Parts: sequence; structure tokens; C-alpha cells
Amino acid sequence: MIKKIIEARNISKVYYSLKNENIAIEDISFDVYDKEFLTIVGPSGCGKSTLLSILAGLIQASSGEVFINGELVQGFNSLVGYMLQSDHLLEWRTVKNNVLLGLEIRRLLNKENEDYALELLNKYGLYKFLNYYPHQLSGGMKQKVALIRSLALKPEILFLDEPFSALDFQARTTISDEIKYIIKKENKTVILITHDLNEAICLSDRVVVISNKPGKIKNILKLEVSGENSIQKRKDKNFSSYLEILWKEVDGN
Amino acid sequence: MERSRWKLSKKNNFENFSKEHIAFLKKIKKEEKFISIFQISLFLLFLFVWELAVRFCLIDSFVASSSYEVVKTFINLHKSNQLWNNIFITFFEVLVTFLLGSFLGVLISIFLWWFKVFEKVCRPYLIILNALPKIALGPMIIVWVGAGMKSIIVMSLLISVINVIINVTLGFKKVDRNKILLMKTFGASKMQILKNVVLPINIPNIMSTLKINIGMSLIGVITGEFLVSKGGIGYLIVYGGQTFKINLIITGIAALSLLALFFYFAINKIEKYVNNCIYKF
Repeated sequence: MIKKIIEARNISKVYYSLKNENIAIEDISFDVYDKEFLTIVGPSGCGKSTLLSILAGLIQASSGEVFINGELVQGFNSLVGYMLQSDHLLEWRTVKNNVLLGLEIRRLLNKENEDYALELLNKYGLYKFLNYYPHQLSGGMKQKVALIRSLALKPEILFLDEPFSALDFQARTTISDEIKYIIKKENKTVILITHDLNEAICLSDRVVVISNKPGKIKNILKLEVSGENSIQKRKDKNFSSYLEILWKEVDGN
Repeated sequence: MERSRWKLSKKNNFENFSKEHIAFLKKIKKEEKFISIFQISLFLLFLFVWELAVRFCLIDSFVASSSYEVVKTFINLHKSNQLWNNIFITFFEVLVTFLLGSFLGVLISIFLWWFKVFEKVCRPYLIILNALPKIALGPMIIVWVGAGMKSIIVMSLLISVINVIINVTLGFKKVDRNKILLMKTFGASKMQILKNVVLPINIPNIMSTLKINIGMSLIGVITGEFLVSKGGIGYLIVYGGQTFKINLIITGIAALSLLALFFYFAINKIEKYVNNCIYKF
């Protein structure tokens, strides 16, 4: 039996405004297993990001519970690393100082952790850009720096909130493969949010499909696609059938 | 910005530059030179035409003064020890207002950012204070603080501080929410968010606010001097008006222009320096 890392139990979130109440997500339950790459897909505005923020303990669910490593999530959780849609590197800091930002904030900046962060930069081909400023890097490289900024804190779990959506198609494909490679190598459990179905099939072990307004789980699909990278996976015969299934699920809202 | 790049490239040796690149740089430099020469000649031409118009009785020197008269007044003021004294008084008042106004303004903005509800509470008062012509408060301030430099500074401080609060608060509010979310994913405290994101992002905005603030401080100080002073450039101008000495009025305005120019260049230098310190590229 593989260990469960994240357990989401009947999570709902209701947003209130002056005129009405809006159920963002309703009764969502699923598990994420150790070292698994789980992707959540759904139409935009279905509450995917809300769900991720709840899992990370950044916002409070209206009802339901989240357990990480068997412990109830209450507020900020240091086991989770977060990667957002945009890299949000701070323009006035060099690559090195951006990567060390998380460590500084958590007051974990010491020689050992700094060396670890620099080693990560070295391992993934960014060492020579150490003293560059973000505007001197390409969009894909910035996302890699953002990933290493998260990894520097040694999280067990990574939450990726549409991290490739700002990139063009080609950068997107190569960077998503690279990031997947880094994540596998560093042995992390991952939840990825995307609305790109190709990306979901190429990267993940399982896909959770969420419906629109309110966001409910429609289907959980286990994937088996063979191939070394996105290009090869796209040629696999299972790829197109998965794509068809997911397309119908997401479209049929 | 272009100017500073040019300076940067001057430090590099030109050997790495292509011929076309050097030609391009030379063209920019030539244009800059042309503009400077044009600006100065325009000013000299103005003085010359002014003087000629008076000499040939096209305009009356009693109401229009003349370049020569103004220069003479400058020298006379200098000789009677009234020039630098008065300039210094105004300079000092502007400097105190500017420093105090900027400091208090930024501090209050941080406070309002920190306590968002309080910002909402204060909003209507800030809007009224911003729209209110502060000169209307002059008589009241004089009654409370007393006639003299103190009331001049209080009045110009009101003008300057409101300007800083409104602009800087706006900048603080505009910070990308996702950047703050990112900080929260690291578990950052409010102080850390302020120090690492909100303040550094707002440095250019704060600097340009301070630039406006120099102008505001000057307006405040001169208005104050018009109302109550016993010294300063504003005093010279009012005195000139009351005794119908047009030479003195224009000399006062000229001195004021020089002072404004000085402040502008000083703040420009500081702005560039601070921006370069933070954005080191």
C-alpha cells in the first residue's frame, strides 16, 4: 500500500458578496499518494486555484478538512512549496538572491541551505546566471528559477498553479518536461493545476477533472502513457484516447 | 535614462563598438549639444530683446523693468546683504518642509497600508484635505502657531504631506496581489512583505512623488511668506509689490526660479542614485 500524503475530505468553499453567495467548490475529496504527480483540470473559473490555496492552508475552507501526512492543515504549512502562474521574481534581486528569498523569509538562511540552493541552480544549468537580473532571462528560465526558489526550502510537496500558462507553446513543452524531470529527480509529490489537457496527459500519473460552477469532482483518471518526454508521449496510442475522454469531461459541463 | 546610458557607454572603451554604433552615439551626443545650446541662446535672446525693447521705449521700464535693472538689483541686494539671507531663509523653509513632509507622508502611508480599515476611515478626510486650498487655513494657522517661520512651515507641510500620502498610498495599494500571495506561501509576516516587496517595488513611485513634493513645498513656503513673513524670497516679492518696485519683484522671481532649478537637479540626482542602488541594472 502506497502512503497517502494528502487527503482532502469533503472540501467546500463558499464566497459571499453583497448580493449573492457563490459556491466555488463543493464536496471535493481525493487522495494524493507519495511521489505522485496529480493534475487537476477544469474550465477556467471552476475554483482550481481556490482548491489549491485551501490545500496549502492559505485560505480557510467553508467546510471539510485537509490532512497532510496525517496531520490536519491549519494555516501555513512548511511542507508545501508553491509555484504560481507567473514567476514573480523580484526584479531588483539577482537570480541568486531571488532563489534565497524563501530561505530569508523563513529565517533559514545558513551556509548549508545556501549551498543546497546553489547546488540546485548548478544541477539544473542556471549557475552561470547567478548574478543576472530577472529581466535578462527568458520566460522559461524564470520559471525554472521560481521552481528552484521553492525547492530551496526542501518541501515534500509541490503545488504548481498553471506555472506554464505565461509561456509560448514551444517553451511550454520543453520547460514542462524539464520541470517534470527536476521534480522526479528531487522526489517530490506534486499537484499541478492546468487547463491544458495535452500538458495534463504528458505530465501526470492521475488526472482529476473538476466541473464548472460549482466545482465538483467529475472524474479521476489514471493514466498510462509511455514515452520519455512530451513529444514521444503525444505519439503514444493511448494519448489521443485520453485526450478524447478528458475533452468530453471538461467540455460536458 | 538615455543620458545615463550614454555616460555608461563612455566608460567602456569604444573598441568593442561597431562603426555604425559609434556614429549613432555621436549623433545622439550632437543632438543633446544642439538642444543645450538652443536652450541657452533662447534665454539670452529673451534678455537681449527685453533690454532693447526698454531702450527703444517700446515698453515702459517702470512696469516692465529690464534685464540690466534686474542684474543691478541682484548686485545691490548682494551688496546690502539682503540677497543670500533671503534666499537662504526660503531654501531652509523648503528643505525642512520637504524632508519633514516626505518622511511623515511615507510613514503615514505605511501606517494606512498596515491598517486597511483605518485607511478607509480616513479616506473622506484625506479627500477633503487634498481638495481644500491650504491657504484658506493660513489665518487659522497664524492664530495658533504665531506669525513667523513656524506658521510658514506648518502651512507648507500641510500641502506637502497630503500630496505624499495620497500618491504613496495609491502606489502601495497597486502592488500585485500575487506577489504578496507568493510571500504568503513562504509564510512571510506583514513586516517582511512590507520590507521585501511593497517598499522596494514602490521606490520609483516614492521618488517621483518626492519630485512633485519639492514643487509643493516651494508653493507652500512662498504662499506662507506672502502671508506672514519678515524674510525670504516671498517677502522680497511682496515688499516689491507694496512699494511698487517692479525690479525687486522680477529679481525675486528670478531668484526663485534659480532655487527651483537647484532643487530640481538635486532631487533628480538623488532619484537616479536611489533607483540605481535598488535596480542595479
